[in-house]
This record gives sequence, C-alpha cells and structure tokens, in this order.
Amino acid sequence: MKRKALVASAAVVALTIAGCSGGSSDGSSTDGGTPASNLTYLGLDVPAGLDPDGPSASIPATQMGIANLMEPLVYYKPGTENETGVGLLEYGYDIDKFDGRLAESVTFDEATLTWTFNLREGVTGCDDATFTADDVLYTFARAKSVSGAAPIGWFLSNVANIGGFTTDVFSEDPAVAAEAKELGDWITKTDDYTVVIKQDDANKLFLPVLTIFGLNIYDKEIMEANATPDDPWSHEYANNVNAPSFGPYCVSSWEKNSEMVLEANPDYYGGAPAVANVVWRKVPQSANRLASVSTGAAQLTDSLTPREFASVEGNDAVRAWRATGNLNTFLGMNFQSPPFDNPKVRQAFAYALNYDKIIQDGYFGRAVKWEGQIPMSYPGYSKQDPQFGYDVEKAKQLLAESGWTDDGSLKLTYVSESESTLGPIVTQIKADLAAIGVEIQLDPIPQTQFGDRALVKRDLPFFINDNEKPIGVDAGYATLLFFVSTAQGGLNNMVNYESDVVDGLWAEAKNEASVETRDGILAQVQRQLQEDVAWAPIVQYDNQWLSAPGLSGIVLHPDNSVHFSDLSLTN
Amino acid sequence: MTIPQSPPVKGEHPLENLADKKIKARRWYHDKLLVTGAIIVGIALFLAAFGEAIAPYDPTVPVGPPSVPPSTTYWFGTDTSGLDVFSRVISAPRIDVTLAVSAAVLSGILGTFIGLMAGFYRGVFSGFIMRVSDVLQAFPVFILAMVLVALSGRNLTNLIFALTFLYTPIFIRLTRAEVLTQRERAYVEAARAAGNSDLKIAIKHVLPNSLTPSLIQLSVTVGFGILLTAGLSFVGAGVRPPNPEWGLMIANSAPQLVLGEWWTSLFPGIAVSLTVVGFAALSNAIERRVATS
Repeated sequence: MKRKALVASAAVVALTIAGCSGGSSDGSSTDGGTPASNLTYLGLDVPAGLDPDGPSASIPATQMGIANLMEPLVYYKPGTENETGVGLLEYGYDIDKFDGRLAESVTFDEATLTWTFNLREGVTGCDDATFTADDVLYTFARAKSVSGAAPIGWFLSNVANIGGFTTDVFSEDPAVAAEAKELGDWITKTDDYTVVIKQDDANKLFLPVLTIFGLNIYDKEIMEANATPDDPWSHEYANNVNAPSFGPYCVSSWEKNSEMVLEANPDYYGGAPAVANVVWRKVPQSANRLASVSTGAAQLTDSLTPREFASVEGNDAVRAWRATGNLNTFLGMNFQSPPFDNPKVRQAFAYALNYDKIIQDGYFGRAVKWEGQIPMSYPGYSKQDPQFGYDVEKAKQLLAESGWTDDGSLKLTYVSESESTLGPIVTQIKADLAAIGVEIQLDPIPQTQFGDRALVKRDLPFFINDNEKPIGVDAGYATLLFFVSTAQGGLNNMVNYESDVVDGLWAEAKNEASVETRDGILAQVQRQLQEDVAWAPIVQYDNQWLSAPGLSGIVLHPDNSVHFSDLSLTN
Repeated sequence: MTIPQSPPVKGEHPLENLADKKIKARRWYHDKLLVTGAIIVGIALFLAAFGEAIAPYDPTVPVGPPSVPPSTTYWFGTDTSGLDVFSRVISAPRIDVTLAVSAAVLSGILGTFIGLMAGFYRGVFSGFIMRVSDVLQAFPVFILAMVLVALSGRNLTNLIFALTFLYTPIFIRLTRAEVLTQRERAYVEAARAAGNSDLKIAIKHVLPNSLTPSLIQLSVTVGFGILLTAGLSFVGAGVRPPNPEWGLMIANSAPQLVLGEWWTSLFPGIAVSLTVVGFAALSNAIERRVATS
C-alpha cells in the first residue's frame, strides 16, 4: 500500500518536474537493453559558476560542473566495485596509484624534486583547440595570479609545495607580489608536450592535489579570447559562460539556478562518452527528485534523505547505489565560546550521544560510527583513543567535574534546508543532552547564513555539520583544512581549534618524504585531536544515488560528484 | 358587566418570563454553529492549558521508532524523529492557541483604545492614526509578519508582538467606525450636559457601547492568528523545532507524503483546520445573535 502511495504521488510530481526528459534511444539492441544517449540528472543545485577560483567554488554543484567539463593532468586509478556496483578508486601518493589523463606519463626525480609530465598529443577541446603545454602553464599562472574570489588553485599548489607558490603573492608591496606571481623556473615547458614542475620541498600531496578540480587544465586559447583589460584571467567568462577545457563534455546551455545541458565532446581523447546529452536540472526537494526517478521521468539523482533512500531499496523500478566515502556528521563546539572552551564539557557532550540510535533512526543503518576526525577510508587515517561511546554516567560525571552550569541558553545550529535529514538527528541529540541535564534549543538557519557564520565569521558556538569533506584524499590534507590554526594556514577551522602540538606535527608531516614516517606523525595528530575533542565525530554516512535500473558506471569520486562520462544507460 | 382588562404587558407575567427564558435557552442550545464553535474552542482552550500534561508521551522526545503508522501504541503514529504525533497534536495548542489568543487580546485592547481615541477626537490625530493603519494594512500580512520576526528574532514573545502589531489596525478601524456613530447619540449629549469630561464620556459611556464589533472580531482574529503562526512555522520563520506546533509539524512532514507517510501531516492539518473553523464559527454565531437581539 505504501508503495502504491509512493508511485501515485511520484507520478504527479514527476510530471511537473521532468517535462520531456532523457532516456531516448539511438542505438541498436544489446543484451542489456537499448543503449540510451540522453540522461536527465536531478540535483540539489546546478553550478552557480564554473571558475575553480571563483566565488562559488566551494559549492558541490560548481565542483561537479568543473569535473565534467575540465580535465586534470592525472587522476586516481579505478579500483574494485563495492556490493552495490559503485566503482571505487585506489588512493595513494605514488605514481603507480595514478592514471595519466592529459599527461600521458609522469616521471619524478626525487633528488631534485622535479616532476616531468609528458602530455598527451592530439587532444582536442570543445572548440577544436589543441591541447599543448601552454594550456598547463596558463592554468598554473592563473592560479598564481590569485585574481579570483577564492584562490583555490594557489592553495592547492602551496599545499603540495609546488615551487614559487608562496604567500608573497598576497604581499601588499606590488613589486613583491608581481614578482611572486611569475611562474619562473618552477613550472616550465621543454617543448609543446612536456612540462616540468619542481617542488621546493618534499611533499606527498603533489599528485593528489593535481586530481582536485582546482587544478584542472584550462583551454588557454578560449580563455584568453574572453579576457578583458579589467579581467585578464577571464573570471567573468568562467563564472558565467563556460569552463573551456579538454574534458568529456561541453556546455550546450546553462541557466543558473535552473538547468545546465551538456553535450559530449565528440573528440574527447578517452573516446566519446556513452551518454551523449545530459540535462542537469535543479530540483531542491529530495522527495520530488525521488518521485521523478521512481517514475522514470529522470534517470539519476542523489542527496536523498536516508529515509527516502531506505524506502526504495529493493524496488525493481529503480537502482539504489551506495558507498562509504568521506561524508560525515559531527558536532562542532567552538573553542572560543564558553562553555566549549572547557575540555570536560566537550568530552561530556561526546559521551552523551546515543550513536547507535542516531545510526539506526537517523540514517536507517546506512552509516557507521565515526571513530576519528579524518575520513576512515583515507590514507593516513588511524583510529586513536580516547573513543567516545554512549555513556550517560560518564557524561554526567564529566559535566559535574567541568563546573559548568547549564542555563538553558545553548543553541544547536544546523542548516534548515537539511531539516529532513538532520531533523531526526538533532532531535535525538537534544534528548541525549537532556538526559545529562543540558537543555538545548534547536536553531535551524539558512544554508548561506550557516556557511557565512561557520566558515567566514567562525562564530557559531555549537553546531552540527554533515557537509564538510576534504577533497584531498589524505589525513594531512584534512588536518590542514580543518584543524591547523588559521595563523599556520588552516582554511576551514570552524571551531577555532588551536593546538601548538597539531600545528607543529602538521609542519613536520607536510614535508616528510617517507609515507610510513608521515603516517606515524599523522597518527599523533589524530590522537591529539581526539584528546582535545576538536570535533565530536558522530557518523560517517554513505553516499547514495538513485538511478534508472538501466544505468551503470557510478563511481565514488573524492568530491562526491557524478562524472557523467563514467556512465552508460540502457532503456 | 364585564371587568375591563388592561392589555397584557410583555414580561409582566411570571409564566411568560419563564417561557421566554426557555425559548432563549432552546435557541442557544439549537444554534448548531454556536454549539459547534463553542465546543471546538473549549477543547482548544482546554488543550492549550492541559494538552501537554495529558499527552501520553513527551512531545519533544523521541519515544519510538521513526515513521510508525497509527497503531494502538502510537494513536497517530510517529514522525521521522520518532516523536509521538498524537502527543504533539494535542500539545500544540499550548503554542498555537496561546499565541493567537494573546495576540488577539493584546491587539484587541490596544486597537480598541486607539480606535476609541481616534473616533472620539477627530482631527489631525485621528487622520494620522488612520493613515498609519492604512499603511500597515497595505502590506501583505504574512510577508510583514516574516519581516517582523526576522528583525526581532524567533521566539514566542516576539511572535506575539508581531501578531499584535499586525492585527491592531483591524481593531482600530472597527472601533473608530463604531465610535463615530455612537458619539452622535443623544446619551453622549446628555452625559456632556451633565458635566462629564470628554475622556470620561469616551471611556465610561461610548466605549461600552462600541465594543461589540471588536468582541466579535476577537474570535476571528484568534483563528487568523493560529493560521499565521502555523504559516510562519511552515516557512521556517516561526516556532523552533522540536516544539509541538501544527505548522511546523506539517512543514516537516510534507516531504514524507511522497513516501506514503500521510499521518504526520494529516493529523496536525485536521487540528489546525478544525480549530480555525471553530473560532470562526463561534464568531459568526455571536455576530448573528447580536444582530438579531
């Protein structure tokens, strides 16, 4: 009966959303059905921009747009498939863990910290421009110009110790800044298809950061053609029109806040993608996305609530995919906001949470307790003590020892748009804290306000977050991103955590050439984070996708985006 | 010889008085609209006072598995957080009704007094008051309420003040219109001739005779107040979760409809509809009785 109700409501919603949608056939029959060339993907959002250094670069839809249009030099090798058919990638630091993309091969001279990239010849972009070493140089020069709203390209290069990417580019002295922005001898081309990049210190993150969207390669020719004297690096063009590159797809049309249509790049060096046309539509309500895919009006969606996903698992009309990656939920307790400057209060809260109930009732079992503060599948992760289990008595004892008295004014802030997912979890947390004598108020606020307060102002005293993921697949990268102090280069230190121990250990790990030694240092970092309860980790939850039964090829990428070129579809 | 009889005077005969009273009582009893409205309003007020105390479960604490359909254990089922829907539905009047009644009473008192002054002392003051009321009423109520709550912060006190601010002009207009009629009546002239001050005449003589429209409006305003409170919570500008509030319950449950989870939004929907209808019916019935008396 429930399924009938689902299908009935789904049909109504789907009709209004999908209009005329994908799945049309253009090929001959195969054993698995008729190959389809059109796919309708429904997402929470469509790209707000396509500039990796632009103002919307931190938004997942923007990152996904860039990932489908722009090509990196190297990327992680495909690994095995999990039980639901999701393709997993092999993570690591060394060359053998990476596939050449625009770079056909890479060599590394450890003595001089020099990387030589032999570029792929005959690669053509959407505009028929040919890929050469100049495109690579342009991309790094643009990153070093720090001319965009968010200098992500510079940050990634700096993190990986690519030579010359120093903080001098931000110098207030124009002469110093101008000189620092030159590529110099650190990144050069020896011919049209060979680029040499030097590091200024050993750093295992070099190849991992090259896989991140912020260093995907631009088509210099088109970018320069759209430059203006006021905007020499074509940020306006990338933010509003296109991200010209050599990737599998080209922008056919793009209406911000509504829809983006992608066409396969017929000259893509990896072979034309199986899905030739992608209609990417914004449908904010997850129930509507679920309805559309359930009725066949769309072929792929993601970011459903755990309840919605659980409701369709086992339904033959759709295919449910899931994989554990880097998605997690944690409690943030601001170190600069009493009572969270008191470690015993933080510990008490961590012990007060009924993790099993959150996993079962909030995530329908599609999550595991997060036993650290780094994604558990990442290289460098190690489980460290103390582990915070559900222990009400211990929580009460710690709270009593803390000397803090609750006055009922604590607010747990979360993103109101995530009410369907986070609502049950924050309600459980409220009940858990009430059990140790702490009465909190729930405080849902809009996503934009949450982002501004958590990441820019960093003034949220107490919040729950399920939207932070380190795209750099490495424990050290995650440490730098979230836990290194701002003064030492920490970027998204939302809780104002400051530890000389962690800062010092990260500085040590950053330039450690031995993976074993580095992992040892990062283990110490993670022990310190656990002891300090830098975050109160709650769960790691599954990535989930819902598709038409005839879709195959979903791959779990570190940025959790769908790469349409991975997919094939049969009716 | 016949004894001349004086014509019967209505109300003089004790039996006749009794008959009248019975007829009136029967009329009250048989006024279905009035009775229905009174019962619903009575239940709403009772639940506002005691709903949370008689609820089988704490309405803000998960008490069972999430999304359980109605059963003997959970009469209205549970929602996605495992909260008991029945307990929440009967606890919600504590917020919805209390808030709406408080706002209606406050705006009634304030609006009636200002309307009295504006009607009695015509001139610049009256014109100014009416223009301010015009401006306030020119804005869509819901949008203005959202703005007020956004500016003042989301808590019950601010919600009451926002609603009071929005509904006061209605009472000003109603009272002023009535006062304008009353102030020309002979009893006002008589009171003035007796040496009463203007203020005394206004408060002691005109006000009691001008209250009827406001009293009738009061019940309607409570109904609108409940709707507005629920509406604000529905769009995320009202009461904070997990407080039991009908609009909030509907907002959080609406996405579950597609999964066939009808109970989480249906019951609060029925509750809010019934309550608003109850207050409207009561208001309508009172208005009708006043008009015919």
